[in-house]
Amino acid sequence: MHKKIMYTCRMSSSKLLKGSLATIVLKLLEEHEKMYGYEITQRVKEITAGEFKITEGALYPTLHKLEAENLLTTETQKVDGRVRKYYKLTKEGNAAAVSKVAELEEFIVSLQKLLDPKLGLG
Amino acid sequence: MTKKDQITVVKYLKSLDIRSMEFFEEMYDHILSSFQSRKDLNQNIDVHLRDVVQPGFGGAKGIQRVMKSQQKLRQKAIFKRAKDLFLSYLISWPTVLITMVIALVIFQLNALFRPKDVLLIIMTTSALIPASIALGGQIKFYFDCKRQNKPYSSSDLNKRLLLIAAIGTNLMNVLLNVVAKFIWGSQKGGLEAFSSYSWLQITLSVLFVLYALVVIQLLKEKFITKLAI
Repeated sequence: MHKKIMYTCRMSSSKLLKGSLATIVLKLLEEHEKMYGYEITQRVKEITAGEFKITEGALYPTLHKLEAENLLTTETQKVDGRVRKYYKLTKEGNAAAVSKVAELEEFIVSLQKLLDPKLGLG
Repeated sequence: MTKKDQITVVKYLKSLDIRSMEFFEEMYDHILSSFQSRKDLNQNIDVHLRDVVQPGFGGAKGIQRVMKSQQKLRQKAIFKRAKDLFLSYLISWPTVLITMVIALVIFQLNALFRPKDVLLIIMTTSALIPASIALGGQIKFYFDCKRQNKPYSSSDLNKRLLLIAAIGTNLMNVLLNVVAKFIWGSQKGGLEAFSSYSWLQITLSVLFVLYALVVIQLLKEKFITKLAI
C-alpha cells in the first residue's frame, strides 16, 4: 500500500516536473557556462537528492526544442575519444531564463497561497 | 570501458536506424557517459543498455521518437529561416534594393534576348546551382565519413537543407509542365506561356533568383561539409 502511494507521488511529481523542464534547463545553463545532456540529468538528481529524476526521453526533446527556438546554441568537443555536444545559452536564452524562472517563482507563490490560504493573509 | 563496449553501443545505435551524425554522436556520448558512471561496476554494457538507457528514453521506440522529433524541429527551423531570408528581400531595407536591381537587370536582358530564353536560363541556373552545391556537399561528407571510418554516413542538417535546395527544380517542373498547361492548355509550351506576359516573366525570374540567393545563404550559414571533429 505504502509502495503504491509512493509510486503515485513520483508519477505526479514527474508530470508536474515535465511542465517546468524547459525552465529548469535554462536555469541550470544560466548557472553553468555549458552542459551536456547526461550532465544535466545528473545535476538535477544531485541538487534534489534524487527526488527529481529527469528522464532522457523528456530532456532531449526539450533541449532540441530550445535549440530550434534559438534559446540554446551548441558546441562540440572531443572527450575520451568521442564527440560531446555541449549546450549553451544564447543572448535570447539568457533573457528567457530570467523571465521563465521569475514566472515559475510567481506561480509557486500563487500555488502556495492557494494550497495554504493562511500564507496569503500574512 | 573496452573497445568491445564501444562496438556494442555502435551496433545498438545502428540497430535503431540512427544513421545521421548529429543524433548518433549525441546518443553515443550519452550512453557511454552513463555507462562510465554506473554504480554497479560489474554491470556489463548489454545489461546497462537494457536496464538503464532504454527505460530512460521509454524504450527503443522512445529513442527513435526523440530522433524524429529533432528532425521535425530542425526542418521547421530551416524553413522558418528560409522564409525570413526570403521576406527580407521583399520587405526589408536595404535588401529590397537587391530585388529591385535584379528586376532591372532582367528587364534589360529581356530587351537584349528573347524573354523565353531569359526565363529558361534564370530558372535552370537558379534551380540547379543550389541543388548542385547541396548535393556536392553531401557527397563530400559521405566520403569523409567513409574515409574516417565513421559509423554514420550523413548529416541530418545536410539532408534537411538538400530538401529545400531541391524545391527549385521541382517547382520549375510543376510550373512549366503542370501549371502552364492547366492555365493555357496544351497549345503553348510552359516557357512560352509564362513569357507572353512580361510582368509574369519578370516576377517569376526575380522569385527564382531570390530563391537561389536564399538557399545559397542558408547553405553558407548551416551546411556541414566537414566532420565536426
